[in-house]
Amino acid sequence: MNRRKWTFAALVVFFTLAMVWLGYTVLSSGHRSISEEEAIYDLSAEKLFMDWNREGGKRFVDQTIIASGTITEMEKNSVILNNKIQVNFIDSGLELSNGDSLAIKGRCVGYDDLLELVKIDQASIVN
Amino acid sequence: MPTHMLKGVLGFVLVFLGLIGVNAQEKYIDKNGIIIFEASEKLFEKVKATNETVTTIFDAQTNEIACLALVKAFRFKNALMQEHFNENYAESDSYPKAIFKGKLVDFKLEELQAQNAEVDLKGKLSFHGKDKEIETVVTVQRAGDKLAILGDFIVTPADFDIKIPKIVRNKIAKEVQVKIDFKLAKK
Repeated sequence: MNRRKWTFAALVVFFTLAMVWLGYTVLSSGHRSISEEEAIYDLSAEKLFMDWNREGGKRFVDQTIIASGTITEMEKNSVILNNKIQVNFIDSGLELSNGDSLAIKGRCVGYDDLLELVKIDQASIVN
Repeated sequence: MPTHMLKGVLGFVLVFLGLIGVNAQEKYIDKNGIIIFEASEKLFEKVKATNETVTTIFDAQTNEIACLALVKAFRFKNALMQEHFNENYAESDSYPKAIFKGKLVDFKLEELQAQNAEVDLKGKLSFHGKDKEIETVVTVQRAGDKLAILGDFIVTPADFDIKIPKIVRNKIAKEVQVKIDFKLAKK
């Protein structure tokens, strides 16, 4: 009888702890890690821009994308590829220069109609 | 073609090019502007998000200013809060952009020296399918070809027809403070 009670108590404690742990992991689940995610699309900056303008781009929003192109403009933490997409990197201090060709992986955020650019953030360099 | 006609055409072309040139020179652009909004209540988790990829264009000839923030680029510390913000409050799939269009009232860029100037900013903020008139005072600072615009203003969720469910009502402030921090460069 006593042993049964103890087993029961142990089970209750274990179950409670498991629920707390589960609740904690669900609630405090961190942000996506884009650089570790599998890319859904792999395309050139030009193609991304053209497809966006043709069909509205809903399928790209919030997706992990690999985009490639040539740097046409630079700022401290971001580059413009082919005057078509703006890429903001996670890491700062990347050694890049105008004219470099590269592929990046990042999250497509949306379309900027003021500058007519597709915006990508949380990017990292793929090659 | 007679010479005088040629001259006329040439003159027209030059004037036209000149106009383009002047226009191009008077635009100031920031592609990585910062907007922070906060609606935190004491004792509860901070309700605060930052967008570091805001686009701003300022036309120094007309004093018109336009800003565009992609709603999905607002980053919260808590990923779940960010998800709720996008899905239930801002509905960023349906309303992906926050746009401000306005004017720096009576601002004269050429008279602005190294010291800061307090300038009235008036305009319309469109977010979540609703428009709200904004009137605030911003600090403008000039350093060569760079222009910094700093300021803040208050909005409420009701301004944009955003309903806060009862269950979280005491965790989200009634007033949302919005801070802007733009560093524009002459283009």
